[in-house]
Parts: sequence; structure tokens; C-alpha cells
Amino acid sequence: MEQDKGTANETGMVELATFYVGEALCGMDILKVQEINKLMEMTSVPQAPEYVMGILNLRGQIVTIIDLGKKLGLETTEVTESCRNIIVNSKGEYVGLLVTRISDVVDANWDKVEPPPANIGGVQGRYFKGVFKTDSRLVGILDVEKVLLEES
Amino acid sequence: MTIQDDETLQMYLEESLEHLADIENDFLAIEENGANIDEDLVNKVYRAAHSIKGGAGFMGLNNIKELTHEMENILGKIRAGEMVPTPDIVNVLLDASDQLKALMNDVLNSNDVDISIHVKALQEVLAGRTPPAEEAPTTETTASAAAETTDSPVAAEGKTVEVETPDGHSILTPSAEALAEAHADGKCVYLVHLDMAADITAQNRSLAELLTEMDQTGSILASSVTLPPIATIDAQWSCGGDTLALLFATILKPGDINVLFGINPANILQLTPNQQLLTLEGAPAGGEPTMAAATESVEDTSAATSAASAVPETASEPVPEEVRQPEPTIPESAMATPQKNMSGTKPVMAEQETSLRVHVSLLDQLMTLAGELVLSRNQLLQSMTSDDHRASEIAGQRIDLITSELQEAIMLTRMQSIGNVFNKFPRVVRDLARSLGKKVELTLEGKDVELDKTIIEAIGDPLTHLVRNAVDHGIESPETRRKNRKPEVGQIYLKAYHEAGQVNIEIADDGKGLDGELIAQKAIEKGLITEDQAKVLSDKDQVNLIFLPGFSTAEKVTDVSGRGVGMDVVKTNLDKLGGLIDIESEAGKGSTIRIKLPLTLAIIPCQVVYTGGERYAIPQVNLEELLRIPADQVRDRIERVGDAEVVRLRGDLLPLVKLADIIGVKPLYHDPKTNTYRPDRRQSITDARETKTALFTDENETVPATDVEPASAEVNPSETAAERRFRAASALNIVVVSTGTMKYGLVVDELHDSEEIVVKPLGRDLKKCRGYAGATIMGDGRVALILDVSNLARMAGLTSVESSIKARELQAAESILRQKSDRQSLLIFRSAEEEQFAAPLNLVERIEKIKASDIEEVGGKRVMQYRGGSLPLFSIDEAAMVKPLAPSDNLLVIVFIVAGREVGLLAIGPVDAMETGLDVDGTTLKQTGIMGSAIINDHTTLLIDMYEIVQTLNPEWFEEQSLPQEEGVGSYSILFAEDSNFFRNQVKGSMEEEGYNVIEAEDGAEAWDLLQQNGDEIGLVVTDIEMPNMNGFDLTRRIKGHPAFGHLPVIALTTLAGEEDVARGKEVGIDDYQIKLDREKLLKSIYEHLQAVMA
Repeated sequence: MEQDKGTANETGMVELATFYVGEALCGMDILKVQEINKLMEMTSVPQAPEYVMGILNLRGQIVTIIDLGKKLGLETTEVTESCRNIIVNSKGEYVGLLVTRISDVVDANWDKVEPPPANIGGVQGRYFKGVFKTDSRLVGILDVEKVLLEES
Repeated sequence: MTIQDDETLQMYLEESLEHLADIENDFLAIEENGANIDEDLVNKVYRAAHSIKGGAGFMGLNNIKELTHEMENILGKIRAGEMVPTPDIVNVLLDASDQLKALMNDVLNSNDVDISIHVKALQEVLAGRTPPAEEAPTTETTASAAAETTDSPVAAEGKTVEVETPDGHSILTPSAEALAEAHADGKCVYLVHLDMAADITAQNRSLAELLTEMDQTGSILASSVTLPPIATIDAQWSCGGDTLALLFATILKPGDINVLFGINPANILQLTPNQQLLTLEGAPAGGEPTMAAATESVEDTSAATSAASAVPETASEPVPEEVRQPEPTIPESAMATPQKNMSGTKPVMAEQETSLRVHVSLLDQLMTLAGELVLSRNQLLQSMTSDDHRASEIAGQRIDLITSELQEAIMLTRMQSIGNVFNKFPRVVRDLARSLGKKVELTLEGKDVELDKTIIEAIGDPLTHLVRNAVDHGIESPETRRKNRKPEVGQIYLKAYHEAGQVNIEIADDGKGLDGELIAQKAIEKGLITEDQAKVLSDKDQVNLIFLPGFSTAEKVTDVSGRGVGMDVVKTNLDKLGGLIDIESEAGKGSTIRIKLPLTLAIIPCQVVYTGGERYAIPQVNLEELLRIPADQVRDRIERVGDAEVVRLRGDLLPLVKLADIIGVKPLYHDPKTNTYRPDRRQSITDARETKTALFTDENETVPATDVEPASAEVNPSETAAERRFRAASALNIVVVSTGTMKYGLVVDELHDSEEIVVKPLGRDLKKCRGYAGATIMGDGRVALILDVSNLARMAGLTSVESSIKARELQAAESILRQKSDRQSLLIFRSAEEEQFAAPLNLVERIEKIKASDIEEVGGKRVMQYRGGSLPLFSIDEAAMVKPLAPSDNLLVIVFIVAGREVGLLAIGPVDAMETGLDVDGTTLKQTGIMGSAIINDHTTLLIDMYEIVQTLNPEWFEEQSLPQEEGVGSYSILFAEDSNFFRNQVKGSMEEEGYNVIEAEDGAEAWDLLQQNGDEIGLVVTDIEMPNMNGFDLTRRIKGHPAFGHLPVIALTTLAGEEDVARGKEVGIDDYQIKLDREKLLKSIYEHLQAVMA
């Protein structure tokens, strides 16, 4: 969308924290990331939406952990050793995104970000702000707010 | 303005507002006293006004000074007795004090406010020209109108919200309702600032075009000039100024709005639901970088903030620094501006207290505790470095202690008296009653009761609602009241008091009350309950229907019942606070609403339970009791009614809800052999309590092939069903919870401890899970969910309506059952391993566990030391031909009272108490000390006759005990009606032993016939209650109603004398109740009653 391009924080250089959701390599502005942890001592919440893995005690705060894969319409993420929670601050509360594994931090230039294709690794294009090409791979830049807002 | 400095002003304001708060109630008291002036009171108000005036003069607040001066003059006259404070005069004074409050809340602009109306009114009063009564409401409206023009926060509280454009040129006043509605509908509200030159003319468009466009995509809530209807605007129309400010509600998101309008984006600001202005990028509007020159912006910001901020001069100074930095996302500016904007545009907030008064002693206590905490920390650190475990343990314990004390002390600082809320009601009631032409007297009680600050704040609205309701709909007009022979003045009582760690608030009125029938009718119409449900509702249940969600919509209910407006909303609000509400009403006499509130919200005691592998916390407020039904009793105590399961609890039927079912998890049970949790496959609670075959087929058939559960039955055939059902693990754990309107049992896998927990909110993704009230962090760091028991009940489809129907159905079924056989509570125990005995539970005093070594043999008899005396001990085998007492180390002593003494019966476990339908065989196994036998739990059980046992072993005890057969007493016969052979023989035997002549009857009808045949002989009637053909109640009613027999005493025999039964019995004339197998008491009663007859 045009106004996405126009907004102030999407110009110039950005550091992307990249991670895998299933097979798809995604990234998000590293400044949005509160922390990344591997706490898996979750309390399951019966009756919660399917994409909610459970809730977690993060230093006295209750954090909802969301299976990012499920939320994006993929298969349920299988919890393995490499799984991590990316804690982001969204609209005043902490939300944890469970991802398959963490990858590098990539320097990206907004000018080189291209509009997303219809589908990245099985994830619908509308969840992305754009794609960024590194030397070897394509990183889909996730629109975290949009992902979290949408009812799935 | 000669404002000295901040602090002085602040202090003055706080003090003055306090004075004002008191003044209001004092005025009301003065009004009430009328000509009978309480000089002290008037003096007090006078002094208050005077000190406000004095301060105002010092601060240069001329308007406040002038107003108080006029008030003071009037008060002076009242004090001197030159003027009688009529309601009209007080009205003027009250209006003036309202205006004063408004001035205080916006003290900086107070001098620019036009207060002439009030001054004039006051002066007129002073001159003796009382304003006509009709004027009262008009003065009020003008007062608020005057206040409105001055951005007064108080005035805006009513209906409108003020939104100021950043340049301060125009102030828009949309109605708060429309604004809230727009936000609630998910719309965005924008403040559009049109520059005629740049946005319209330069782009070659017409204003009409733009407005029409806006009208199509949303709605205009307010504008700086009055707009004609959009459809009628023609292309040439102009608003008559250079700029036009509009408040526009639309579903368009900030990103999209300007696509439509093509207006300079800097001129569109978004108004958030909390009244904050944001730019389209979402940055706070204050740091607006693109707006004109920096200097102008400075003014903008300060203008926007000036409304409520006390110190614009100082506030404006740091602003230029912020503005000079062009990035709107700079944290400082982002932090600073929204705060100011909040205070500037959210007038309602201004009323909330920002400071609290805390008693110095409490503060000292906190200080001491803080000191102690520091010391303990030092100790802990020291012991940790020196690896001294003992010392760190001690320090840990100390910290534990101090923390809880500190917690308590801090909680205390948050406690405020409910008077803060109550005090505004006299005025509310007075004004409302006046406008409705009613006479109402409000009595307040318990103003000192303290509650947590958050609760005090939150309870104001629901309480106001209830009080207004009471005045509006509860109290009738004076004429109606006179017609109904009630005093003209209606009474409303508002009462707060502590009870059981909760605060209770009662709102009672003596008005017309609620019509339950109409409410039920309405609920049926609305489809909230079915007609069948409505039929069985009690009066109280009917009235409580008004709390059902979706019940009330303003007018409709008012038409019918006159009450219940928004009651469900009140209830929802109270639910949020963890409070309970209950209403009692009697048509024509008034209603009483009771509210129960927790003292505090932040930390609440909870019961922790375990279900499906997770822990859950249930707030203690909702907790009634914990119930554990042993595995072997489940079948007896759980009953099925339709598809619902209920448990019998002290005569009441309690609907059961399985937590695992509602939240959709698999219940687990703990296997003590492997110390693991395994899925519990019982479909209904009573499953696996059937016969063995049923259990096995159940296991084989219902376990799906995919079930990974180790097939225990197959692998371990020795573990039979019988064994498992007696194991503690299969016991049923029930948490009995109440939600105010109903009580139910929540079946959980395990019960854990109760703990004090800190409530934490759940994230937005979980807001839709209604079963949880929040979450908390347990001692081990994991999270546990807090259950919302009222929502759980709703999710389970349980309503109080439904449960009461069930109870009724079941009671009906039960009474049929009861006709078949008498139910008797029995204590079951053993003496030797193989023989099971039973004794009537109501004869048992206590059960004690003792060691075999506690028994002493003295004088050929066994005794034990017990409560400072010697308790004689017996065993059944001493008197009856049964197997000898098992030689066990751990014995039980069942304490009975026989012949006025305590005696102990030696027995061994397991003991069990159960209620059972007795089918006693009084012949087959009858022998000395044994009344008979019955089959209980598949065992032949011997019913012991404690009386006979003791009599056999200690006949000498009874010599002095036996009742002297006085001349005459024995000459009467006793008519005895009892349908059970066993009991008839038993009781008859003991009566005959005493020398009475007994005429027996098998039921009430037969007894009635016998009575008519042998009327002269019979001196007393002993009757069972539950009998075929004619029950004891009917029999008694006939006897008592008959002229010849009316004098006969009737003693009723029961197995269980419930209070209800006793009351009913008394009603029909039963003279005494006795328990069937308590022969001593029965004989005593017979004796006493016979004597009375003779006398």
C-alpha cells in the first residue's frame, strides 16, 4: 500500500531479526523485538483460540505465546530444541511469537524492499510489508501488528 | 493574576475542595432543619466559605472571592436567624457551590468566567426575593451552560466532551454519547481542520462537495460553525471564515482517510477513545512538527494544556525544547505530550483524586517495615556470601514475615472510607426527588467502612444507579403513598458494614417493590427463560431475573415493572469487581438490594485446584466449601436427573459441573502405584461405580484403539474394579462455589492448597475465553489461570433457574422413594474384620482414635482416661454372640450417651457414615445387643442396640434411671403408628418394657380407626411421619382437629428431623419430635407428656 511506503519509519536502513516460521524465512524490525527466549514452561489455556500456545510468566508479567505458524495459517509448530519465543510489545502488552528457529540479523535497506508476492513459503503475502533479497535468500518482512490484529 | 506559586495554590485548592465537599452535605442538613437552625452547623459552613474567600483574595481569584462573599452574606443572615433556609434558598446556595467547584477545577481561567447569574441569584436571595420554585432547574442549566463555555471539566462531565484544535482557535463539543458510540462501533474519529484557502480554493473544490463526501463515508459529530443539513448545502456555500474544524467519525483507518480527502495530512488528527489527539502516523499531536513555525506550536501546546494544567507559565517553558527536535518519535516529547493532552481533553479525569491522605502512624509503620526489610536483606546477603545456610534460612523467614506485613500496611494505605461515595448521595437523592416531586429521606449508615481505592472508584456508578433507581422507580409519589397508607416521605437506607472479610452494602427502600410475576413474564417474552422454568421460580428467583444479561432495556421494563433499568449492567460491573448482588423485594413494601464486595482486588485468597494437568485458582470469595466424596459413596450420593448430575449435600441438591468438560480438557486421576497421572475415562461421575461386569465392558468398549493409555486392566488383572473403586484416587473432589444467584459443585481432579495470589490480566487474545478472570503466578514461577465461576456456570448452561427446576424434580422423585422406605443415617464400623456393624448416626456423640495401650483394666472393667474422667469401654462381643474384637493396636472408640452417661464402644475401622433406605430384618439375626440386620454395601450388617448392650453389661445403671411408674400413667395406652415392621417392633418393645400398653397401627389410616375404636384408653400418640395411606402430618392434623382427641399429645418419630419438617410438624400440632432409635429420649418424652395429660 502506498501509505506504508510513505510512513516515516520505513525508509533508510533497518536491521531485521530473521527467523523461520515453518519453511519460510521471515524478518521483523529488530527494534520491535523485546527479547528472544526459549522458555517453554507454558500453561495451556483451554478454550483459547487455536493459535494460542499458552501463557508464560515473563518476570512477573503474563505473556500470551502465539504459535506464529498457526496464526499465519500454517501447520502447528512442533516444539523442538530450536524453537524460540520472540517477545514483542504490541499495543501496550507483551506477546510472544513462537517460531521454528532463529536466524541472523540482516541489514536491509527499505529502498531495496520489494512488494511481497502472493505467497511466501505458504504464508499469504498480505501479512508482509515486503521482501528483501539478501545475497542468498529472500526475507519476508512481517507486518507484526497486522498479523496480531487479524482474527484467524 | 497574582498567583504566588504552585504549591500554595495546590494546597489552597485541595483544602478548598475539601471544604466544598463538606459544604454540600451541610447545606442539605441546614435545609432539613429549616427554621430550627443549628448554629454550629451554619457556623461551620460560614467558616468554610470564609476561608475559601480569604484564600481566594490572597491568590487573586476574584470570581471565587466574589461568589463566596455572597454566599457568606446569606449564611450570615441565616445564622442570625434573619432568614429561614427554605429549599429554594438552599438550591441557590447549592448551585453556587457547584459553580465554585467548577471554578476551582479550572482555577486558572476562573477569573474569566461569567458568574453573574449566581451572584445575582445570591443577591436576590439576600434581598429577600426568593426565586420561585420552578426556577430551580433553569438555574441549574444555566449554571452548567455558563460553566461549559469556560472549558470547565465538571460541566463537560454531563453530556458533551470538548475537543480543542491544536491551534486553540476552536473548541468542538460533540456529545459524549455520540463519541463513545462511534468508538464502540469501531469507527475512528478525526479532528479535521480545513483551511479554506489551501484545502478548498487552491484545489479547485467546493466545501459542499467535500462535506457531501464526508457525509457519505461517515458522520460529522460536531463542527466549529453550525452546519446546515448536508443535503441542502449548495456549491456556493461557505462557512463564513477562513477555517472550519470538524469532528468526523468514519470507519476509514488513519492510513486511508486522506486518500479520500486530499487535505494536508497535518490538518487531520485522530481522536482516540481516551480523548487523545494523534497525528495520522499515530504520533501524539502535541509534537506536531509540520505545523507552521515552531513558536506557534509552542502556543498551541500550552493552549491545549492550559485547560486543566495548573501551571501553564511553567509548563510552556520546557515545550520549546521538545518542539525544536523535529522527530515526533523522540521519547521525551512522546511521553510528555500525551499526558498533557489527556489532562487537557479528558475532563472527566480531573475529578479523580490524584493525592491521598494517609495517617502518619501508618506511614511510620511503613517506614519501620521498610527499615526492617533493608536489615533483613543485609543479613541475607551476608549469609549468602559466607555460605551460612542456617543464617540465610532465618533471614528468608524474616523477609517472608516482613513482606506480608508490608503488604498489609500498603493495602491499608489504599483503604478509603466508603463515605467518599456515600456523601454524594444526599444531594443526588434530594435533587432527583425534587425534580420528580417526591419526598424522600435518605439514611446513611456505616460511612466509615473502608474499601480499597480501586473499588471505591469503581463502585460509585453502580451505586448511584441503584440509588437513583430507588428514588425514581422505588419510591411512589406522595399521593400514591398516602393512598396506600404509607407515610408521605419515602425512606431509603444506604448501609455499609463488614461481614466475613467482605464489605456489604445494602440499599433498601420502602417503595412499591418489584412485581416478580411481571418480571418473569418479561423474561419469557425476551426468551431468557422458558415458561416451564418460570413456573417453578420462587418469588426471590423471579425478582432476581432482572440481573440476567439482556433483560433490561430502558423504557420497556420501566413500563411494566418500574424497576430493573440497566440492572444487568450494574451486575456486570459488580462482577468485574468480584462482587455479588442480590435483590429481595416484596410488592408494595419495598425492595432491598444487597451487594457484597471484596475488600481489595489486587491480592486475593484463592483455592488452587488441579484439573487436566494444569492448576487453576478459584477466588475464595466464590468458595463455599470443599467436598470430597469417597469412592465407595459416589454411587449413593451422586444422582442423575435427566442428563445432569447432582450431589446431595445436607438435604440440598447441588448441580455438578465438571471443570474438565466445560473447558474441554481431559480429566486425569493420580495413580499412586506408578505415581503418574492417567486419563480418567469416566463419562459420567457415577460410571465405574456399577457392577464389575459393567465396568469391564465399559473399559473394553469405550477405549478407542488410538488411546495410548496403558491397558491397566489387562496388564494387571489383579487390580480389580472393586479395588479401584475403594481407592482414594477415585474419590470425587468437589469445590462448592456460589455466584450470588446460585450455588453449584465444580468437579475437579485434585484439590490443592489455598494461596494468596496476585491477579494479573490476560492478554487480548484470551479475552474471549470467558471462563477466566485472569491469571496468576504460582510459587514455582508457572502461571495458573483464575476461574470465573459465574461464567463457567453460564458456559455449562447452568442457571439458577435450571438448577432449581432440577432440585424440584428430584425432590418429587425423592418423595416417591421415601414412601417406599425410611432413610436412616448410619455409622458403619467393624468389630472383627469380617463382621460389619451399624449404629444410628444420631446417637453417636463422637468417634475417637485410640491405641490399644490406652485401655486400662480396672475393677474388672475396661476404661480409658477421657476428658479428665474415666470412660467405660465395651465391645459388642461382650454382650452379643459375635466374633471378638480384632486384636489391633489402633482402635476406635465410638462414644454414645446411654442412661445419661458417656460410654465408649470399641471398634475398628473403616468407619463410614451413610444415609440409606433401611430394610431391616428384625428377626433372623436378632439377639441381645443386636436389633436386627440389613444389607448395606453388599454386606450383611448388624444393627447394634447400644442401650441393650449397656443394659446387659451394667444393669445396675438402669435401676435408678428407670422411670417410676406413677399411679395412673400406666393406665393409659399409647397408640403407635409406624409402617416399618422393624421399627415398630423395636419401639414397641422398649415402650412395653417400661410398662406401657401399646396399640400398634401400620399406617396413619389404621391409627385413626384404632383411635376412634379405643378413644378412651389412649393417652398419647406416637407416630412415624412417612407412612403410606395417611402420613404422620395428616394423622396429627385429624387428631388435633377432633374435639374428642384434640388434647392428646402427639410425638412424632423421625429418622432425620429437618428444620423444615419440624416447622411443618409444629404447624399441624405435633408436640414433640424424637429420633427413632433414641429410646431413652423417647421414653422420657412419653413420660413427660403423659404426666402433662394427667395434670
